[in-house]
Amino acid sequence: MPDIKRLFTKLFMDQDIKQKIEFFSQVTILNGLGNFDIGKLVTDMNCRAYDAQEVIYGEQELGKALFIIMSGEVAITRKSGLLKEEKVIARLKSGDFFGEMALLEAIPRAATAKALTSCKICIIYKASFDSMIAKDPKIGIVVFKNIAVILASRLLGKSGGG
Amino acid sequence: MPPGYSGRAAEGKQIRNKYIVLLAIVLVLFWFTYEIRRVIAPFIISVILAYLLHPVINYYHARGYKKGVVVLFLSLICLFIAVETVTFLLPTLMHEMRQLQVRLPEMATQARNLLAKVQDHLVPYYPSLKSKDLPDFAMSKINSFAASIPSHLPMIIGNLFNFLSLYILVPFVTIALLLDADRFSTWLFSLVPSRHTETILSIISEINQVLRDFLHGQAMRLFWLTMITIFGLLYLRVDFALVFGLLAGVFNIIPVLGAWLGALPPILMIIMQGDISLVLKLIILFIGIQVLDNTFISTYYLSTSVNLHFVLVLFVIMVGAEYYGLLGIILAVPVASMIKVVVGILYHDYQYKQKLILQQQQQQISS
Repeated sequence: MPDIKRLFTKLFMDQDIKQKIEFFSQVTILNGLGNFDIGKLVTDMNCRAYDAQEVIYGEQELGKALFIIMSGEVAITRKSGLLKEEKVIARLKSGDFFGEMALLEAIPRAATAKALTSCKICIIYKASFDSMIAKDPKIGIVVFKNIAVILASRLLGKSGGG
Repeated sequence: MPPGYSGRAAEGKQIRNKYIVLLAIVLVLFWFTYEIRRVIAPFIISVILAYLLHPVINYYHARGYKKGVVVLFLSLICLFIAVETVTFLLPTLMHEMRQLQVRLPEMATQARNLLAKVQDHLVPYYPSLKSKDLPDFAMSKINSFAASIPSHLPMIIGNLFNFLSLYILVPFVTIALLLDADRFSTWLFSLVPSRHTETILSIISEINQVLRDFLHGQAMRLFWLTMITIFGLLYLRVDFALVFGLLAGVFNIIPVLGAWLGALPPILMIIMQGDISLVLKLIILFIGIQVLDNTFISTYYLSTSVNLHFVLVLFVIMVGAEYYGLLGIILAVPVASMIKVVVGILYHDYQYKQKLILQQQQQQISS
């Protein structure tokens, strides 16, 4: 029997998508989603490679997608002070995500995202995400709840409250 | 002039130039599709089929199955359904067509008698009609039109797409699209400069959603309308229910006018038979189907599609018919919806950038 199962898996199952589902189930913003829901997101997203120092998006640009880092490092920078100096506010690595506010609404980006090393990033578009949650609202509830938790923890962190 | 003003103005001009270039690319694309319109039909049919089958492939792929295996199984199922449908429907359709052919002379005589009656009723009010043989004139026109159909039919079908391309090219292109669409989009994705990835691909994503929703909605709508029409005609015991039902289904592809064009052939046939009560029942049936379509079917299946004004729908259908024939009639509305989405996104983007430039200029002035 185990041999038949192994043969079935080898013939019919896609190891690449299984690995991707496993990887994305560890991403905080997708916490609580089942494997099939993550699979639906994976089949709908696009992934691309960025070279080191390539700008992924700029501050004030209209946000329309969520970015999840599969490999490499990304810096989130913001211009501040009188001289508008660029300041690194976060360094993100594999499994981290950024630009999540775009899933809620197409609003201007609050910071610039730049690849620090060559990296592979997967992108979920607001348009396709909206269409997906219209058909399956459960996915929307889970993801939006996660975004709310992330935003709350950021606010609490900023204000120093517990 | 405040510092940085000329720089901002140049930036604004640069944005405008970008949109002009984009518009030029779109116009060139339209010109190109017009030039190749005679060969493009099987490819467009394949794209539509791929769009309709893609969710099934994605469903199983998301569950971890290999895409190739799912495509293979789906192709076998589609082949089985096609063969079964043809073997089940074809004999019934052929029988109905043969019956229709046999009964045509009888129906022509009935039509002639009906026209003669109409003329008799009209002569007291319009005496000039007495000198004209209205039934003979009308019948000669109908006969010459009917005689011209068989000679024109191969040309009509041939113009749409040839037999070989439909049965061989379409399945192959559809399977290739289902298997390689993702690889192609990844390749296309890599060509887009990283800075514009988000904007350009979100436009593509939105167009994709509009097309997907439209095609799925239309397919389901046409299926239900065809089924309801066939069962309605069978219930009223109208002859050739299958032929007329399928015809009504096909006509429903044409928005707005299609429903009434589909109703005409059975109503005309029953008028010729002189069964007025059945004519009334048929009219009620088609009005009922139309109401059902407008209130439930279209609302349910096409609710997420882009809304276009009735006049605009008519206009784009006429433009489509003029330049691309039958294919233009069918594709006019989805293409118009697509253009509306793209223009909407680009306009929103343009407005946002102009606002940003204005804000920055005001900041410069105030500082």
